[in-house]
Amino acid sequence: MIFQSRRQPERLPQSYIPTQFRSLRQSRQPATNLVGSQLPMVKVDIVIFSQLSSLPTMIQNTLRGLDLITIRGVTKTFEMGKERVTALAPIDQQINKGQFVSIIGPSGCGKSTLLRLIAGLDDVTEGEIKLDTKGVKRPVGFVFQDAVLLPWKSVIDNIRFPLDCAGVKRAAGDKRAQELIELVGLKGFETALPKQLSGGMRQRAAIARALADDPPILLMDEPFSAVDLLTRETLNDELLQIWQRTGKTILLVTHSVEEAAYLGTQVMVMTPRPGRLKKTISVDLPHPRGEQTKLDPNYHKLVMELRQDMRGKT
Amino acid sequence: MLKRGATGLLLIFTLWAGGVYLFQVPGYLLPGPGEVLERLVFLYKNAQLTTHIFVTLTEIFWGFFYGSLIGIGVALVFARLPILERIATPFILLLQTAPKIAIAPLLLLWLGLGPAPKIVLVAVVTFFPVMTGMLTGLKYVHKSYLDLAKVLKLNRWQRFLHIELPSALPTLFAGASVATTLAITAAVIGELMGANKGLGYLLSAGQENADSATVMGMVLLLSLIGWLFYEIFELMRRRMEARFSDV
Amino acid sequence: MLARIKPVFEYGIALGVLYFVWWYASVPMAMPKYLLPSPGDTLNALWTMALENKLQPHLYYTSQNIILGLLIGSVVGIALAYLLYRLPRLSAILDGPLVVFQTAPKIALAPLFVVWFGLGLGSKLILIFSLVFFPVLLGALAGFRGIDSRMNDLSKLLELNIFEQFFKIDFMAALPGIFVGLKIGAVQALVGAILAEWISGQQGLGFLMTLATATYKTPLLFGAVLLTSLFGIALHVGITAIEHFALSWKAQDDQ
Ligand SMILES: Nc1ncnc2c1ncn2[C@@H]1O[C@H](COP(=O)(O)OP(=O)(O)OP(=O)(O)O)[C@@H](O)[C@H]1O
Ligand SMILES: [Mg+2]
Repeated sequence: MIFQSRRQPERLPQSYIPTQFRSLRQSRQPATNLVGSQLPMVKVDIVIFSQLSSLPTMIQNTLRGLDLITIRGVTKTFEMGKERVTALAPIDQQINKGQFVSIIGPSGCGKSTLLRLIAGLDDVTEGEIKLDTKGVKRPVGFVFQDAVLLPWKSVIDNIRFPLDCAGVKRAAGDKRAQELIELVGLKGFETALPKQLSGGMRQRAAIARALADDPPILLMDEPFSAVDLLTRETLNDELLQIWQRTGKTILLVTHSVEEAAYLGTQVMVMTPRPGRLKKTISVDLPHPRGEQTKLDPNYHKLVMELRQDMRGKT
Repeated sequence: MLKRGATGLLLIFTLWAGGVYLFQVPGYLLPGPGEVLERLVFLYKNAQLTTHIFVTLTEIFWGFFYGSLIGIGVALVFARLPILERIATPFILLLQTAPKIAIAPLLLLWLGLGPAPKIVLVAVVTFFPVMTGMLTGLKYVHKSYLDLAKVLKLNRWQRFLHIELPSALPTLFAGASVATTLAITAAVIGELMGANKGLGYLLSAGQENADSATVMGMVLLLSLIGWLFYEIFELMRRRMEARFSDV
Repeated sequence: MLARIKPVFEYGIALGVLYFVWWYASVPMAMPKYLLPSPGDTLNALWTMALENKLQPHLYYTSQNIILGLLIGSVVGIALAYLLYRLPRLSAILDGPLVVFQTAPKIALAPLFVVWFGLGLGSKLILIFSLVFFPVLLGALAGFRGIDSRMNDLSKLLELNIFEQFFKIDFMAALPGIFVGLKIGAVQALVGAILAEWISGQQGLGFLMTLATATYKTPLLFGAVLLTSLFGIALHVGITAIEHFALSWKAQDDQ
C-alpha cells in the first residue's frame, strides 16, 4: 500500500523482515494475548497501577521501551468564570503498542478530557503526555460520539478528507478511501451524503475517516452510544476485526462494562470528583473474541468486577 | 444589549470627534459632533425641529400601529382558517419579496405630500414581519402542549388564550423588532421622496444645500430613534421569550 | 415532477389574479389615467422604450450596481464575520458599534455619501454596500458561531491552517446562516440602488421613476415600479435557487 510506506517508512515490505520477526509482525495481537490464548485456563489478572510503579526501575524501564503512550503526572483543570473544576487529578499510565484499552467510569470522571488531552485537542495543565510516534505526522485518529461528518461531502469524500488535507494525490486518496470503505462495510454507499445514512453507517464512515491517513493510535469517545444495541454489537465485532487487521493501538471510552470487557485487552477504570485512574485491569480473554467470549465464565467474572469497581467498592 | 449599544455609541462618538479634530477634516465633508450639535440647536430654535421630529414619529407610530394590527389580524385569520392561508400564500410571498419601497412614488402620486403616503408605506413594511412572526408562533406550538390542551379538554378559545397566544408572543415580538428598523427606513424614504415636514424632509433640504451638518444631525436623530425603538422591542421580546418560550 | 410544477403554477395564478385586479380597476372601473394607468398602457410604455433601446441601459445600470454591491458587501461581510468569530477580543470591542450601526437607518446616510463620493457610481455602490454588509455580517456571524465545536476539533486533529479551515470546513458549515443574511441583503441592495438613483443619478430604474414623475408619465412610472418589483422577485428566486443547490446536503428536518 502506497500509504503505509509513505507515512510510515519504518514499515518495510515483508521480505525485508528477518523471518524470526515476521510472525510477530504479522500477528498484530499483543504478546500477552498470544500467551494467554495458548493457556488452557484464562485467569483475570488484576494489576493495580500503583503496584506497577513499585516494581524495580529496571523492569519499569524495559516496559517503557514498548510504551506508545506515556502519561506522566497529568492533571487538567477548567476555569469556569471564577470557579476552577479539577477534571483530572494526577494520572500516570503507560499504554503499549497494539493494545486495545477500554476506559470506563461514571459520568464526569474525565474520560473525554483524558482522550482530548492525548489527541492534543486540549492542553494539559500539569504533567506530560508523550507519544512514541516518531516520523508520523498525524499520530492519532479520533472518533467522536456522533460521527461529525462534513454534511456537504459524500461518504468517500469524507473518508478521503484527511488525505486531501495532507496533500495526497486524488487517485491515491480514492484508492485508499475505497479500501477503507470496504473495511468498514460501506460498499455501495460511496457517493451517499451523510444525511442519507443511518446512525450506525455514519459511525462506520467516521471510523474509516479516522483511519484514512493510517495513524498508529485510534481514540474513540463513546463511539457507539448513539446506535441501537444490535448495530452496536455488530460494530463491536467489526472494530475488533479492524484492530486485528491493522494493528492499531485503540483507546475506547464507553459506558458499558460489557463492551469494555468484550473489546479490551486492558480496562482503565476511572472515578470521579476529581477524575482519577482507579486501576488498570488487563483482560486475558482469548482472541479472536466472538459469541463464545460472551459465554465465557471469566468474561462474566470480569464484568461483575468492573461493575463493582464502577460502583465505588474497592 | 442596551449597555453594549451605549458603549458602542460612546466609542463611535470618540472616534468621530477625535478623527475630525486630528485630521482637520473640513466641515462640509464631515462636521464634528460639536458642529452638528450646534446645528441641531439652531434648527430647534429657528426651524421648529421639534415639529419635524413629532411629524416623523407620528408617521412611524400610526404606520406601525396599523401595520401590526392588520398583520396580527391576518395571522389570526390564517391560523384559524388554514385554507385561506393556503390560498393567500403565493400572494403574500410575491408581495413580500417585491421591494416595497418601490411603490413610494405611486403612494406619493395617489396620496399627496402629507403624512398619509408615509403612514401607508410604514404600515406595508411593518405588516410582513409582524404577520409572519405571529403566524409562526401560532402554528408551531410545542406538540406536548397541544397534547396537554387535549388532555385538559380545553375549548378552542381557552386553547388560544392559554397556549397558542403565549407561544406566539416571542416570535411576534421578534417580528416586531425587525419591523422597527424597516418602519423608520420607510418613513424616511417616504419623506425623502416628497414632503414638507419631517426629519426626512430636513435631510433632503440639507442635501440640496450641501449642508453636511444638518444631514449628519438628521442621521444622528434617526439613528437614535431607530436604536431606541429597536431596544424597546428587543427588551419586550426577551421578556416574552424568558416567560413563554418553552410553550 | 408535479411538486416542482406546483409552486410555479400557484405563483402564475397569483400573478394572474393581481394582473386582473389591476386591469379591472383601471379599465372597467375607469380610474383616472394619471392615477392608475391600465396594464396595457403600462406595458406599452415599457415596450416603446425597449424598442428604442432606451430601457435596456437603465436596467443594465441598476442590475450592475446591485450585483457589484452585493458581491463586495458579501465578501467583506463574511470576512469581517470570520474575524470577529476568530478573535473574541475584537468582537467584544466591535459588538457595541455594530449594534448601533445595524439599527441605524443607513439610507439616511445616502446624502452624505453623495457629498463624499460624488454623484457617480461611487456613492451608489457605497450605499448598497452599507445596506448589504450588515445583514450578511450578522447572518455569517450566526453561522460561524453555530458551528459544532467538534468541527473545530476536527480541524485541529487534521492540523489545518486557518485558510484550509475556513475554505474546507467553516465556510461551508456557516453557509446556511450566510444565505439567511444574503437573502435580506439582496432586497436591501435593490432598495439601496433604487434610492441612490432617486437621490442622484442620470440612469437606472430609480432615475426612470423620478423622470416619469417629473414629466407626468404615469404609465412609465408604473412600468418602472413593476420592473423593479419583478427584479426583486427574480433576485430572490435566483438566490433561493442557488441556496437550494448549495445546501442540498442539509438534512430536510433542519433546513
Ligand atoms: N470545556 C470544559 N469546561 C469546563 N469544564 C469542563 C469542560 N470539559 C469538561 N469539563 C468538566 O470536567 C469534568 C470531566 O468531564 P468529561 O467530559 O471528561 O467527563 P466524562 O468522563 O467524559 O463524562 P461522560 O461520561 O458524561 O462523557 C466534568 O466535571 C466536566 O464538568
Ligand atoms: Mg465524555
